[in-house]
Amino acid sequence: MRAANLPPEEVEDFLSLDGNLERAWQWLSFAYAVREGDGDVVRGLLIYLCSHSTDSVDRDKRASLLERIEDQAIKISELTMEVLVGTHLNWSHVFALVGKEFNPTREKDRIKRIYESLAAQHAQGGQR
Amino acid sequence: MKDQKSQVPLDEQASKKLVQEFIHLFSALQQKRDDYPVHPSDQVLNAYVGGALPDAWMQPDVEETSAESWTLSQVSFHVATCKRCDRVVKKLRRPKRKASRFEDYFCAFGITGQRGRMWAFSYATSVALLFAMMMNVSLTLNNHDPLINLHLTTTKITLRQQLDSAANYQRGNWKVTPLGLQASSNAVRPSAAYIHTLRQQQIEKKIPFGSASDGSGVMP
Repeated sequence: MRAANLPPEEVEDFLSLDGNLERAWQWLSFAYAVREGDGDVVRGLLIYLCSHSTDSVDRDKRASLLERIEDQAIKISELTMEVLVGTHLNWSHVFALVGKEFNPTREKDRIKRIYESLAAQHAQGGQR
Repeated sequence: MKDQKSQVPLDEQASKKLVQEFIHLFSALQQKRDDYPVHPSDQVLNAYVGGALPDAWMQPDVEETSAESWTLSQVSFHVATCKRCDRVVKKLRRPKRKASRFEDYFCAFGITGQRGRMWAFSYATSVALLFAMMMNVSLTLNNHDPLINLHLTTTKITLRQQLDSAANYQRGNWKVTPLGLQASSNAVRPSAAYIHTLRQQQIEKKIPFGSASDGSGVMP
């Protein structure tokens, strides 16, 4: 959510740090999606995914975050990975943060298309 | 129309499926570690919780980061994946417990902390015990001979009050309390004729009130 503010080329090295190229492309496709489309919508999708990244729910953290969302006391730019993990937000909370509703499936498909295009480009480069 | 329909949030099943498609991207967050060689200092964690850390994006190569150069993203990732720092941050975020009314009183007297409260409790218990002992002594004295007590307590009051007391004692309307001998709630003021009779008897016999020790009191 924060790194996605930068041009994808700048985060490329960071995203490849763990050596998993496929995962790096997936992260990179989020970065491209932010640049190409509505950045806040992509961030909203990331917020939802990050909040559901663990099976367990941190009830205190969730209650605190929901209170801040309902009071409009927090902005997307203030959210960090740690604040979101284990909060299991609903889509309504995400929409409240983004400030509008969006279609998550459509965004997911867009990111997938970007990923496939990146993977294809890489395959062409490899063949060469 | 079709586009409007597609704005409806995903149902639970579809949302779960969506999360499953991307869950591998967050694998680092799924299990907290306890083997980080470097941790942000308490000062850095305090600044993180207070939203005062620099927001510059850097590569979160957490293990190599020196304590002085933590950024928001680095601390966030570290806390999200470190057992120790997660505990510290949770503690820092916990709302301060509202002091009870008793604690407010203690604070007003400069008594703070667990040790201060223990001292205050011990002091209060000692005072309560001392008071209870004094009460016990008072009761023992009063039970010894109510007439003497009656005599002692009525020497400075008017004759009318003495007569009232004597009449009520004679009628059994007295009771021994921690504060001395007192008339019970059903004590009544004797009639003028009765008082007159008593006064005459006292004058004739020349016996002061309260001096009788045979248990019969001063009554006829």
